[in-house]
Amino acid sequence: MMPEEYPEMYMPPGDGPCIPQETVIENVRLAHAYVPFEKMCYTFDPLTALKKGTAFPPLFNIYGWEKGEEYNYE
Amino acid sequence: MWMYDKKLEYPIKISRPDPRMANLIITQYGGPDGELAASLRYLSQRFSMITPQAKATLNDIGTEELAHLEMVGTMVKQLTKDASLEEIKKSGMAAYYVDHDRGVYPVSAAGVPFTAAYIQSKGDPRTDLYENMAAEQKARSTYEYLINMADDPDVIAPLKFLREREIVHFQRFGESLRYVQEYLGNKKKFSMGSLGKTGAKK
Amino acid sequence: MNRDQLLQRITALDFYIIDIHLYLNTHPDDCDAVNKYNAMVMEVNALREEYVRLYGMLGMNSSTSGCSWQWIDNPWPWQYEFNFELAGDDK
Repeated sequence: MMPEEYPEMYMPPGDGPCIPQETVIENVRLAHAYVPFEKMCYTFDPLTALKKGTAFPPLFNIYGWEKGEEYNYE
Repeated sequence: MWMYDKKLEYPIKISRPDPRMANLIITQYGGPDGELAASLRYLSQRFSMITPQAKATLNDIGTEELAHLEMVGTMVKQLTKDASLEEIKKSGMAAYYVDHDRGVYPVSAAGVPFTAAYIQSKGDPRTDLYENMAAEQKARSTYEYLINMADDPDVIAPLKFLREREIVHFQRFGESLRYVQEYLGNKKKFSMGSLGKTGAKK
Repeated sequence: MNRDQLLQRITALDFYIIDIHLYLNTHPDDCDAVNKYNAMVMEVNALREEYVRLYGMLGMNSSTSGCSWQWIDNPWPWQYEFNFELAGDDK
């Protein structure tokens, strides 16, 4: 996902690439579940966001499902 | 409190009647993993939630689910409004028709009326957030199955939108859990059982 | 803009705002996101005023009306005729 693809860009402060999520979680404890925090970098423009169901590119169909795809659990 | 905004969150414009599909989609209106369950669950749980971040999340996702309930009801209506009695007879929706005509009533796809047994509001903020994360996954799966059963692009588009919302909600509940877990974890360090809910020493 | 185009623009902006709003609930210190949010709110408010002036009431308590009372007017959002066709087919 490159920023050039999306007309609506939110430029984060500082230089370097913007990583849209936490990549390391520290002090993890037994019997606790952790979902990494997202971080807002680039967003879809509002019309694209509406069509896709989210303004956040990294969250768009993150499980990669397509119509007709059935889960084959074996 | 709530004010109504006179528009849908996502546009629904279905020209082809399809009572077969309506009978399936209605499960996200009154079924176990549907939007009525979701809104009632979150709007009930919010009263016991802790941390400002989690309270806001429950309040606002609960509110968005009402908008989704409206979308699902709209889809059912548009799919049945101009369906003929013949089409209804052939579609599997005849049993629903005899009790409700083309009205919208909260049942599952199998015809089971809505019940609060579909939700939990356990009072324990940790427990409630896990319940919600599971609920969002169940709703996502249901939308996938509904999309698999659909063939009209004007039906599939709003279903895909609703499916994506479930993924985003899951992420936000997961983030809320981080705040709640941290709060409870820190509270434990300083409370020795004799401290009250506010952490003040008795 | 005609009604459908204006409603599409408002729907898209309002949705974008909702998604950033939920993000902000769990990221209250992301001030760049707050600024983005505020900018979008200003933009949509202007468009809503135009819609209300030309086409009908939108917010239950925040729209003005002509006489006779417009709030009750058809179509309502669940009706086919109320909705616009979402532009483009990369749905």
